[in-house]
Amino acid sequence: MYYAFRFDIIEDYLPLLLKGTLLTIGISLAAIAIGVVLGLFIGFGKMARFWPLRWLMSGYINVFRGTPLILQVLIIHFGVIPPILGTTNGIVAAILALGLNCAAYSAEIYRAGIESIDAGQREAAYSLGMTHAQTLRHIIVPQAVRRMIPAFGNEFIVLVKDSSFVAWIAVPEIMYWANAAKGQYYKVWEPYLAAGVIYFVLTYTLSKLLLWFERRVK
Amino acid sequence: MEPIIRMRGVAKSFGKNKVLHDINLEVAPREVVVVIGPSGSGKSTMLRCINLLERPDEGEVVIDGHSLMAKGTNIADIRTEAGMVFQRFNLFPHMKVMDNLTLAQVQVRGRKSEEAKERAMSLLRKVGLEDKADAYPDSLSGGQAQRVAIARALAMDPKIMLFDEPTSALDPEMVGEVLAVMKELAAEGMTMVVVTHEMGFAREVGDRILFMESGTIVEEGPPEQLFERPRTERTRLFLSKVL
Repeated sequence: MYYAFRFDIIEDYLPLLLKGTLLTIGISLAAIAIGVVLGLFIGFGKMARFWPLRWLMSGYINVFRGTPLILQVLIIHFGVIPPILGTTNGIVAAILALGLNCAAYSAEIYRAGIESIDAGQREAAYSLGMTHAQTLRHIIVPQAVRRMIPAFGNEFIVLVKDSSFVAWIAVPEIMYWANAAKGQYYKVWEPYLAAGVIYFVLTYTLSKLLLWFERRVK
Repeated sequence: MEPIIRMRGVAKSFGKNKVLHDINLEVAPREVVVVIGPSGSGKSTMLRCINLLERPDEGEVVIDGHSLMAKGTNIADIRTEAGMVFQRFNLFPHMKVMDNLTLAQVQVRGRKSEEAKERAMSLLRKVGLEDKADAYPDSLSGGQAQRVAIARALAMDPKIMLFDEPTSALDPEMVGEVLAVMKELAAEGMTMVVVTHEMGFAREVGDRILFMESGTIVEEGPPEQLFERPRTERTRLFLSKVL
């Protein structure tokens, strides 16, 4: 079967797709920053002795992991942001939704990383007279961070791909422009393949970057 | 002499399982006490109550005149005076041997880096591993790792040393090198509490042997008496299996 591949569609939309790519990168980085920092507090909160805090943080993680991301995006965009800003704002909603979602997964990565360190490490540090804080800082965290890197890499890659959901709230990122091209030309392959290639280049580069970082830390 | 370790009426349960019943123990300075007994008899738990890695449910633990259970006692300070050697070494795998030995000296004792390194080097020399200062723990044999672990504990200049089955995880040919270091330490007058299955070591080095079973000290005495003329049937039965 012969298919006339319309490179001109891609050419036509290339500037917009590239703009969209920058927005995808920007939203992803901002969401990762929120997720990694907020996740740290949630993760440690979930390991706290104070049970109400533990309960609250578990609740947060369960809600964000247990409901669809697209639902979170829509609720935050139409329900949460307007009362705060007085208007909708797709980019803010996108960053917030992806960031809060990323925080839930990051929290679990922190917790799993910390808890994966053998209890004997903590005991050895305590037996040398080290305090809880010294033990965390010098013994537990440096070892845990190494184990967390691959899991974080995974999470970041998922986040970049899942950022495509925010096309639903008209944030002009990659997926948004691919949809627009499809709508304009009634062609499926050209815009979606172009979007696919861009996402792949982004995630592949990210995975290589993380691999390099992982090696450097070891 | 005033005992350096005193346990009074110490009891400990894990859930419904009572692992220590009314333990009373006094250890004098420079004394070497060896604790023997079947697995699950509470030996390790008793040892871990001495530096509060396990918190007793009842009773009192007094180290060098400081009650560990009293409010306001700084547990970390007291642990500094009680070095511990673990069955599975528990060296810090992300640090070189040298850093394993200097970290707590600097962080806890507040020593200068140079001073800590000197102390570490002299201890590595003592355990015969000065050439391993820059090695990572992963590259050490079990016997070497345990000798480093002993040096790490000694680097804090503790008043007592606690050994929790220090040779149980070692290949047989490496047991000797670790026991040799411990013997030397005992000869230098270190106060030691040693949980072990090495009966030869217990007999040779121990000033006093405790036999534990089911969370109680069944019998104690000097090695000649406990090994040659045990007073209880339970001790006799245990010794007949291990000797």
